[in-house]
Amino acid sequence: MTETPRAATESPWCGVIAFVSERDGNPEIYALRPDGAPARLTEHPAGDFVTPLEAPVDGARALVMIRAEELPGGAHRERLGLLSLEAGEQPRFIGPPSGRLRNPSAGPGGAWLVLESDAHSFRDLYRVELTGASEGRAPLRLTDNLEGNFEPAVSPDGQRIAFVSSRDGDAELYLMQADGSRPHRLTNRPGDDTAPSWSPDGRALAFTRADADGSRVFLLALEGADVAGEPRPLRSSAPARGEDRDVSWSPDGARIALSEAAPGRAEVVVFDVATGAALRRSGALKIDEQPAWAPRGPWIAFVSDREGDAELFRLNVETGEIARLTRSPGADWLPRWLPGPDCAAPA
Amino acid sequence: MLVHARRPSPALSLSPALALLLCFAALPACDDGGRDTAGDSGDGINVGDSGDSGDDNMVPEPGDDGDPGEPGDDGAIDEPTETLDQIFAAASKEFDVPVEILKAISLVETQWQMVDGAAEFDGQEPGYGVMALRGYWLEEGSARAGVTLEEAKTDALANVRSAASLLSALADQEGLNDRTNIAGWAPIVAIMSGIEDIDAQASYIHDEVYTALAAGYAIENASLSPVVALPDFQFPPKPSASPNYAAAVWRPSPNFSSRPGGSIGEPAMVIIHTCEGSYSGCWSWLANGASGVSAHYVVNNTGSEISQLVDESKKAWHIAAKYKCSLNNSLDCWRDGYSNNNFTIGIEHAGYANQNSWDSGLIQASAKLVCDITKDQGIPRDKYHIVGHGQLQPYNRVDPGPNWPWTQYLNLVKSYCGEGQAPDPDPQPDPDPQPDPDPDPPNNGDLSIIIDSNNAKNGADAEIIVSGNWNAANSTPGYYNTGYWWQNTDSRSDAARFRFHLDQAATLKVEGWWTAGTNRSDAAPFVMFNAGGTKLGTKYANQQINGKQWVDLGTYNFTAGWNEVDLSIWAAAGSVVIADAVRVRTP
Repeated sequence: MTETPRAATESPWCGVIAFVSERDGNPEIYALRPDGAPARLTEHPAGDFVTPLEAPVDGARALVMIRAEELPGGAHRERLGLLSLEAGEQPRFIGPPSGRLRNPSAGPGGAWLVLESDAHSFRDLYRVELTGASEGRAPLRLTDNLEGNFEPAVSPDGQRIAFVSSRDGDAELYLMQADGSRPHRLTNRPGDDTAPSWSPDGRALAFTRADADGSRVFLLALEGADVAGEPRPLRSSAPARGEDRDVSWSPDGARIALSEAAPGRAEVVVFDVATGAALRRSGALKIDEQPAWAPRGPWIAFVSDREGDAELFRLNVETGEIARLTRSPGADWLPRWLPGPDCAAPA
Repeated sequence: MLVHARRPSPALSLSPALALLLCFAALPACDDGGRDTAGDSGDGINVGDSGDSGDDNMVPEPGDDGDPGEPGDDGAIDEPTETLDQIFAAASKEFDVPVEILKAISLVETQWQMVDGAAEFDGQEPGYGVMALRGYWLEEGSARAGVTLEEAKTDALANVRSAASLLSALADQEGLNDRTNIAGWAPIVAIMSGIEDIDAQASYIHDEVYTALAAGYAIENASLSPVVALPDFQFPPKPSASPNYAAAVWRPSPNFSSRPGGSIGEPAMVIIHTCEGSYSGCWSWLANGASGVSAHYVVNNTGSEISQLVDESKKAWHIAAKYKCSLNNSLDCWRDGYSNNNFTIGIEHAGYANQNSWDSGLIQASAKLVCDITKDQGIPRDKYHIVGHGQLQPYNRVDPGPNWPWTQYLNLVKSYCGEGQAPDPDPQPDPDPQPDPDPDPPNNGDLSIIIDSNNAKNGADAEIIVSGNWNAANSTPGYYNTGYWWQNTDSRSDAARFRFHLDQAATLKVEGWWTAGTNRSDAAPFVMFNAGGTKLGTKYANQQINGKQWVDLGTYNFTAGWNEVDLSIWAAAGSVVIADAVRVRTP
């Protein structure tokens, strides 16, 4: 599966872009490195999905996946797995299968993760140990509310977990300690507040707020476990068209990429976090979405159907240059750009 | 969770909407390879090229309605380009089927949108094109019309011609002598519907197709002049009242069972589905014991009728499959037989997951219904409890129907239940603050000038100027005077210019009028200029709401001469802006 290495003049991006491809019919996980063609990591009739993670797992040698299986008799189950980035290895499944596993978020160093499961209730959060003495222990239930708890996000220092809960009537942001203790509410609005995402320094949460005019990304400053001021809109000025989704922080926390989605169209937009100015637009006439920042360098990977079915593209945030990364008959989507050893090398 | 996103499930499948058609109001553009341009990857906003404007001349220029039009059409066609109107007219003429019949069927089935359907229920063939042709009809029609199956699915003209050829053949078969007799087509339309139940056929004929005929309709590139005809078909029985929702009618389905005891049987979620077809076809299939599927409610395509099929206290069969611990390493056996149906309320909506725009009446009616359900069942009103069928998958590229207005919909549900939006503590800064009104405005009396989209209605002190890219329509009701102009948003300058003349300077309040709809821009830029061409301010208006009324766009200091209120199309792509009327008056 290797091709001729690209010319040395090409941009020296690093790491591995893991993504989902349907080139073989059903969703499978692939890995793309700077010097080669996409390598297939899974081969299973079920749907395999790369899950977005804020923190690398297993020294970035593995990624977290969800396998959704349709079984004989109409049963459906989902399994959480660790998948090596080297082709040819089987995933290591973690914890019991469930009807619905969602939104895993890893603690520092990938020693543990928190995820959303319907194993014992409508939807609650569980902590799963991936390494060390506690590995293999039954998942620790962190929440217990009839109305449900969703979308956990572990803080970069691993001390706290931001999440969404409907416990007080509708979706609001909450924060708790990493062991599930001391949950408290961060927002209080009639509209839904959802999808919390930590800034790399752990001092702010980006989240999506449903206002009368659509879903918009807001920023909430935190000091430790406390809210430091009212949330502010990410944008400084122009009203957004459509709905914000797929928030991705740059590794230095200075910029946020997101997708502005409208009926039939979506555009990847990069914002300066400090000023709220839109720095770069992907400028598509079709669907550009799911931006993922490179661990190093001025790039984001994103998905676009601008040249047919969904393929991966790379946007240079500094120059606006867009390069196509994949070329396959089926959709390529859900990119995650993981750091690799080559990312530590000088640029 | 027991639903697969990409393949039909054993009993009930969601709507994958794999290929989103981008050509709802511009059907010929479906064939326009220019739409695939990669866009400008450079900085800032992309500037469209001519390839993006292939739909420029698809509708009549203003004042062009003098042409007699093609035989059989409703008089709205003048241009040689292939508008939807012309497509219907051509098929009508070729196969001797009244254009009104073709348009009314298409309206009921797809609201005149090109659909790329999916099988929502087991046993349902996906519908394609503006006529929603399915299965056998699609094959037979395409053969009769001499087009390929693929053309019949994806090309509007081939699709309508296929349907017209079938209707024509059925008319011969049924011995319809007078093809101009609209009422006499009813039995043929009933056969074409594919609906088996005679009462449901009667409902389809009387309550949908012939009601649509009588009402008339128009979208941006086609119109149906009202035709009142009593269909030659039996009347539908009067349905009785719904057990759970006063605004619904009761069409009980045998396809239900008891919810399990305990918290697992407590309704906790509302699942939003699309029928992938018409309203009558949808409820009649779900009420048919042979189908083995159901939903609690079905909402029609304008929200004017809701059918309840299953009592909310019972389990409707709207999501396939069950949990079986024997198939799952004997894990979680307490969940045996567990299904999303246990704790969900299912609502079907007439239409297609991949359609571009939803009638605001459907959205409102559905939101009211969901408010009622969540109140009765104690379900939290948020995106985790009111979800699209497709959201049950781990990750999904296309579901829920990409154009279902989720944020607006959930906000509506909340507001109907008295949870209106609180005052915004974080208002978006006004990107272009309006100047303060002049404290001592020149006395101009009680001035009021209305600039209409139709210059025939404008006085000597008002005019509208639009380029040929603007499309005339009198579709969505509630327009001012005779109709309005619309255009797709795009990153280029092509404003609709509402001009008005002042003898002397004046401070005037500017108000806009439009027809609201979900495909409208939520930030339509109105830009005010004085007679010297100086920009006075910009106001972004949400044209998805506040239709059929004067909406305040701010107060500005205008000068003597011709001032201007421009409605720019330069808004983020993916919607349309509506230029209907502007009023300026003394505040």
